[in-house]
Amino acid sequence: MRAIVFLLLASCAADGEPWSGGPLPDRLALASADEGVYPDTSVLADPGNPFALGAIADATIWDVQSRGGPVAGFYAWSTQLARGATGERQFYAALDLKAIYQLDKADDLEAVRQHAIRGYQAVLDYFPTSVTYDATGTIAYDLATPSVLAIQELGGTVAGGWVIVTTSDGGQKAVRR
Amino acid sequence: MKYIFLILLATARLAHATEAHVVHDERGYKLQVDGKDTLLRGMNWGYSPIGWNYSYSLWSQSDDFIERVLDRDMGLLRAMGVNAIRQFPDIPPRWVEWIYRRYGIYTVIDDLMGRYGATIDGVWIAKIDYGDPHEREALIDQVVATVEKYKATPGVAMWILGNENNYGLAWTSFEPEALPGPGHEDDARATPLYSLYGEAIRAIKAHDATHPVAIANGDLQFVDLIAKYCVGLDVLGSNVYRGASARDFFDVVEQKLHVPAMFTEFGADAYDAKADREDAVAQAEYLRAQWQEIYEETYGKGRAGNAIGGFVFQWTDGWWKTGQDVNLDVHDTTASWPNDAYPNDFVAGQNNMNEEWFGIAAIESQGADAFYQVQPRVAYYVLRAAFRLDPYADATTIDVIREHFGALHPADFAGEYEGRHALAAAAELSRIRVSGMRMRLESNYTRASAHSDRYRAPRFDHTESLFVDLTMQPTPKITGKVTVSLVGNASQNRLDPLYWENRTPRVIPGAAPATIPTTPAPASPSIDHASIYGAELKAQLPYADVLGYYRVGHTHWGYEGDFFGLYREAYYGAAIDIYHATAPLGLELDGRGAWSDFKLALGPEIYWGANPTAIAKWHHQFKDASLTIMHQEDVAQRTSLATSGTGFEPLTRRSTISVSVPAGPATIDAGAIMAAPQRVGQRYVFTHPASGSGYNGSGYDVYTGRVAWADTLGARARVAYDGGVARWYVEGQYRGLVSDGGPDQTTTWTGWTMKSSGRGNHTSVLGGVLLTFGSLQLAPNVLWQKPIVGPNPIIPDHFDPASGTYFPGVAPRNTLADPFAVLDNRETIGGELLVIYDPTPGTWYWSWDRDRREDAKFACSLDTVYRHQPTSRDATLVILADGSLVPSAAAPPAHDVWQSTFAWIAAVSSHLRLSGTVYAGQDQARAGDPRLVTRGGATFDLIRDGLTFSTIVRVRDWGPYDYHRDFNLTYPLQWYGDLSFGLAKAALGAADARLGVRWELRFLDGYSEGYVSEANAPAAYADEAEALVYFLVSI
Repeated sequence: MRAIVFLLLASCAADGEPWSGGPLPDRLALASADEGVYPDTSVLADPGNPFALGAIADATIWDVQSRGGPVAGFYAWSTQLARGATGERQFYAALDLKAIYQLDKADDLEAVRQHAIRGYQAVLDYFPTSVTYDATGTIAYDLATPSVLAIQELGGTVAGGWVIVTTSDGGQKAVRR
Repeated sequence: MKYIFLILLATARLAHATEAHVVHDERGYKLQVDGKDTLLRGMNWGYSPIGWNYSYSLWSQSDDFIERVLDRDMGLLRAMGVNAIRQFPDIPPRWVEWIYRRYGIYTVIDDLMGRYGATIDGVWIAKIDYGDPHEREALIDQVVATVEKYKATPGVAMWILGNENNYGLAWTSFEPEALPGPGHEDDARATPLYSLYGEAIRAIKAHDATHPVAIANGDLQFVDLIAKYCVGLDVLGSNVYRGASARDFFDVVEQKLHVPAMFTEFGADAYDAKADREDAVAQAEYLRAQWQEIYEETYGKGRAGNAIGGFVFQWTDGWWKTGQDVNLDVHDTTASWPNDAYPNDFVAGQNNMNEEWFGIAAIESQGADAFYQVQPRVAYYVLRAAFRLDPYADATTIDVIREHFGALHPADFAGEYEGRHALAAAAELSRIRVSGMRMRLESNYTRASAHSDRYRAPRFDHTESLFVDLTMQPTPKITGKVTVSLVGNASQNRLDPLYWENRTPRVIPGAAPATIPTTPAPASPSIDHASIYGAELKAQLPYADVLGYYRVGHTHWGYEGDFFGLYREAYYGAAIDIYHATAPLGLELDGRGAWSDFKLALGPEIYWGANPTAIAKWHHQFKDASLTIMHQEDVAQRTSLATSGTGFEPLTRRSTISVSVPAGPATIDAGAIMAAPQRVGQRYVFTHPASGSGYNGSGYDVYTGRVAWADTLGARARVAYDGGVARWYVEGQYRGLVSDGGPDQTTTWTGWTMKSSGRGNHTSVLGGVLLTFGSLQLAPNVLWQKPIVGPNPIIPDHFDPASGTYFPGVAPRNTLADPFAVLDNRETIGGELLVIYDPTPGTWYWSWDRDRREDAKFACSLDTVYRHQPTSRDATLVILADGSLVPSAAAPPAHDVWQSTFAWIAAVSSHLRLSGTVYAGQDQARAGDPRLVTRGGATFDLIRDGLTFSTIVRVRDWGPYDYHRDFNLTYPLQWYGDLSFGLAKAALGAADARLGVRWELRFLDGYSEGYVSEANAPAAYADEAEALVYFLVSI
């Protein structure tokens, strides 16, 4: 009985660190080799991830993407990717890695470049038919094509037999041979 | 004329009650029945079909069936020379007389004197206290009632009291165990038993002076107490398993008791535990020697002179004896107790008595109507020859007896049994065989109105399904069975499209490259035409019984020390087929001999939702108390579920210790658990109502906590008190944040539905009282339960681009991402009132298969549960259409719920059984939709011989699948029905040919799955209907 009372007291007095708002990060320090690349979920345990414990609303993530900078965007999309995998989340996580590389937002830029290539490749490998929508939510854009183009732009090699072909209207489209 | 006179004479004699008494002179003792010297060539006779246990009653079957059984068995017994059978007081007197009139076989009536429990004042008492004055008085009253019931019945030859009740003083269960040794001779609990026998003997003699009274003692244990207390005893009956010779048995009886002696049970089993094979010759040799000794000890042979016969144990094998409730269709070769008096198969330190093989006749080839064939073993033929000798003939001297029995060589009789047995068993002995087959052909018609999205679906479709059972038996101790499912076509327009045959592959993210559906599914999806449906492995190894299972149910360990529900039972019925689950899939090892305290279960999914895991249990029974230690170790994390109804378990490790101690009429259980140390240090979010505006104006203060070691610990204690008319229990739990166990799957006193959670993160107190008033029971039950850390509210996140400040949002926790969550451990103050009417308490009303087992003409219950839930809970995990497992976006809000269910069953006759339920209630969806559902409905089932009818009506209730409740998908009305007619009574696993029709009709509104709303008719109902004709053949 004494032990039970002790346990009750011990747990009822659960202390915690109080929450408050704070600035979003502007420099990337990857916590693991595959952070933000499906199926890795280590971003949820990254102490530098401001989204790891909190809930992110759909509207907020676009706000962060457009006005919070690529580092915050990467953490937001990677967090959502770890909580529920979709091609769109993987694509934007890779897109933000590419921006971090291009905007010099990390110390080891070469590692970020390689990381971005792996992120785009994950879109092709795991979510080859995924799409994203425009602001109206009605017009869909496939994600495979910009992923292939981004890998090429980053100097990487596209795996899985993907190539870019020219469509009848002169546009570009990624297809798998 | 001469024959007519003889018939009249016989009829006149048979019309009167049979009279029997013991005569005694200087040459010994004899039993005279109706004036004739009679050696009781008796048999312990009964009828227990394969697949049933002690619950089966021949006497509740139709007269035609009973006569069919008796004609076969009594005919064989009379031909053998048997002149008496031993029966318990459930045999109707008219059948005692019938057996006597038609076959001349006497019956001795054995009142068990509470050996296996008794109903006293309408309350079932499982363990009789022979020292309790009230229980003694009730047992005496029952004995007197038995005597009054049978004493005038022609054919009744004797009364017997008990059945080795002295062993019940030491044994811990009703299964045979090792015979008590000398250490129990001075057991103080024996005196009340034998003084009760003495009282019973005198009570019987006050009511009936025409039949002798015997007891059925366990060997000669407590013989001095018998001499002291059983004054007036006419015959010492004893269950004797001393091998080929009873040695000094008859001399001791004469020296100490001065009464004749008979064996109420004796014999030998027909299985050689050492050689691991049937040995009917050895059984026959034991029985030949035992009967020779009985003959030699009879009146006037120069020895003790006090033997008056015996009752061979037993007529046919009892396939239910080992385990008693499990493996009822397996002829178990497990030896359950040791006896060195049977040296042919005795090995020191090992058991050699095969309880399921004591029949002098084997049973085989049982039909769907539970009528089996018997195959007399060698002992039958040997004794048939032995019984030709009249022990009381003037010429029958001891030398004649020895010569007669000495000429009987069991091996000479083996040919007849072995020849017949070999023919009958030839097919069974095949190492690989097709042991069963079920073919199901269905044709369905489906229609829907315009507001249903099925409106344009094809209307006719069909399904062809075949299940083939392949059994492999490389040795008698290893049996494997695989069920293969073959599908021709699977209907694609069914209203309920999730069913076993419609097994299109599901795509699980992480398990394989995933796609997000962007195009409609193809019109004719690819079906797996061949699949393994289920498999089972049973093996008896030297140190353990092994049970391997795949989609085959297994029981939990709740009644054998698993106080925290780690090993959950896995009987999911049809739900397994609905979701194509791979569970249960695993292996169970049950230790034997020196390892009998150990059990181990392991496998990829040993119950639905389980991670790949191993659970070990050590459970030791001390004299009265027991101690259990368990450990569970998950070896990998499951990433998908078949249905949200099974729950999701994060990777865990659990250790428990518990004790169970009797304290007078009470039992105290207590235990502690440590679970999920892997989660120590993990972060979690919790909130408190704020005194001011709180975090980001939410009204809450928000914190991050970390799981501590103390959060892995929990404790539980329960006291259950058996006060006869009033039985109660109370239990309390403290469970640290992550100290998750499993649900309590045991039943305490009655079938209450409200229980405390087995999950961590809560404190609870639960208690109930069962009051019995004859056939009526009243059972209130109350629960108080509160989580230690409450559920999280929804607080939206906020990003201020101007300042660059971000406020993370708060969402309800879920077990996928958080170390714990508030689910069924939510804050609850609950009350339940259960009212039961059951005129046969202590039977099967709370069994899962009570529709088949309950023996009351009418029984019913009304169960009402009300739960006050003042706070919300956390998020449920749901499964999306592509199979992915995600947390719901919201959680059920705070709200009270209630449910009331009236259930009834009527076993009108052996031909007709009816049952049904009526329910109403108000409940919540699981995934957070706040709309409260007020629902009701009823079910009705009828079985009349080959005809079965089953129907369900649901009003404003959820649809049939788990996700309907997850996402709050309800229908204004649902009606399901099934009417079929077959050649045999519908029963699990029975061969049958059945033609039936099933139907579904449901109306849809805006809350229903597949409802298509239109702007010009927003309030219109839609309807869907399906009719399905099926033909089922199974062998």
